[in-house]
Amino acid sequence: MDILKKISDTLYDGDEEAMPGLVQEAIENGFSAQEVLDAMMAGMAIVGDEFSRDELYIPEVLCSCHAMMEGSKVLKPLLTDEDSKSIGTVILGSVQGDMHDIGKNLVGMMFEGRGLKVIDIGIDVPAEKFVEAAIKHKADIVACSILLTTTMPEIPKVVKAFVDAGVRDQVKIMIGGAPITQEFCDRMGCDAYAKDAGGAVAIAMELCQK
Amino acid sequence: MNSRERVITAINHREPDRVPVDMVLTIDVYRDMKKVLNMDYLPDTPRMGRWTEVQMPIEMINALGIDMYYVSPRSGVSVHTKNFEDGSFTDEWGCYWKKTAIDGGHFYFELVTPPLANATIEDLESYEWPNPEDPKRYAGLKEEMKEVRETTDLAILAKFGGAVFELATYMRGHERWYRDIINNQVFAHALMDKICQIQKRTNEVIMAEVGEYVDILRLSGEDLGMQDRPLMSPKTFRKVVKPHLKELWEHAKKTIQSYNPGAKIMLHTCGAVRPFISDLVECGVDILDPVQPLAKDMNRYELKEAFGNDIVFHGNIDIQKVLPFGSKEDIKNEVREAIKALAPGGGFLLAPAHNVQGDVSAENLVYMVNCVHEFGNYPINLN
Repeated sequence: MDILKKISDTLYDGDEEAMPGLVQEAIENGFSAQEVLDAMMAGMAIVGDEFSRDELYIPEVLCSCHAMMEGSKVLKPLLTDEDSKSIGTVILGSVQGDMHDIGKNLVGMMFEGRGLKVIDIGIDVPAEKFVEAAIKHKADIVACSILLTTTMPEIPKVVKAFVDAGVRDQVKIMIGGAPITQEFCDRMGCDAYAKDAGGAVAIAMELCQK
Repeated sequence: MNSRERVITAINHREPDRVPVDMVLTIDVYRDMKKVLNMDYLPDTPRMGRWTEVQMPIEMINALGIDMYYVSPRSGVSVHTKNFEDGSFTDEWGCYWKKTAIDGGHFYFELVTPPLANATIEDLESYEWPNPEDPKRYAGLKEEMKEVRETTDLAILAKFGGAVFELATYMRGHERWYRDIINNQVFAHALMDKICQIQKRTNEVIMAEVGEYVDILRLSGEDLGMQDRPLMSPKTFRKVVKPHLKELWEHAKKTIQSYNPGAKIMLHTCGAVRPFISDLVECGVDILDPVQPLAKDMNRYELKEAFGNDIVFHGNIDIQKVLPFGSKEDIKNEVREAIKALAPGGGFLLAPAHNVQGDVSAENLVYMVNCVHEFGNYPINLN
């Protein structure tokens, strides 16, 4: 089988152990780092689409994301500056009081899989830290993860922190998590809501192209 | 009919005089409830569990007009157990639960350091596991349950029977564990088997003490659903997870029924779990909690139609939108709809669809119970 097809399929299958060897083999066979990365991204795009259509489940998606990470470790030193130019920069974190990170991590890995630069600032993040990170990294997007109804009140605080710092118009604020709805997003003055990780990727790509 | 008769009738798929109602409060709501019911004399901090849920005093249960008394085992002690100054703690399995502040002065315990994150299959043999024989786990339990049985007519729901799949998640960490069940199945089976054997023995030890008082044995939570889909594919569930849960639940049911032949077992499993319900029935689960109404494919009418003869529903009053953010009218409609869909023929115990969190007002809960007393009388005639 074509090695690039095999890489794409292995990524879809989430075989983290096999991925580094396959990437190495492709490079040794003369494929460029960018070609190999494109093959991984093609597999990741299928994962994202099928997840959005409710055809895949979290455990499988996590395996694919980790396979992507393992493959990327081999590729990273080989990518030129031009190759690794990102589409946009995202600050990603779970809001203060929320210690949940699986949704956030999944979104982060899928963003990276589609060529976005992700600065993950962790869990239990106070509103001001989102602002600091956004300014420091010249972010295009700030993505906040909220799993609990009890941490939803953090969102207006994050929005206010950006307004107070005078940088609200420089970033797009995306929110997501189980209790969040489009109506809540609109009411809080955020820029975008995604119902799941696949949707978040599509929206982030769109926001970065604006 | 008294409360216990009402509950027992309903869990045997017959119609009692009224839909039974109950709830579990977390600490903040409990304190609010004390004020709303003018019960200042009750303790400010009753015994509290890992999820900040409290043991509701009988006076409050009676004042609220609910039908069940929840009882939890005490904490066991192992080489891992430790309490920290900030209120965080490490439990007997070695899981560290961090006390986390939530907006509005509330708090919760969140798992942050899974003890087996980097473990190999060999490490499972040398790990210091809790001792299922630990008498601290049931100290005072028999006296408490005997008193409830003798001085009240409440049904007793015992929250014993620890988890297997969900505990493996805590011990391994969510992300690592979800990858294990796909790519590291030999390890996954070994970990779940190890936990299952300890939980089975723990159940035997506690049931021998208090089994005779238990009307409903609530198996520890095994959350299998997310908001918008099951946590794993039915194929993965059946191949990897179900064999261990079946072993635990069948053993728990056999054990409890050797002390109280009429006892039923209840499983708590959140989220979109519809594809698993027939498996749960096959494993001997009698009662499903919390029947989360906003999760995908959890339409209450369809569930009653498909599974109403095989399983009793417990919960179903939305705590994601209606109870925390809804109006009185929304609460009334939610209660009416739940009763209309699930109560005919019995087989429904109404409750908030999870431990009630600090963003729900006690007033809304009192109103919810009042609505049950208004609309929940049999024969159900709601159109």
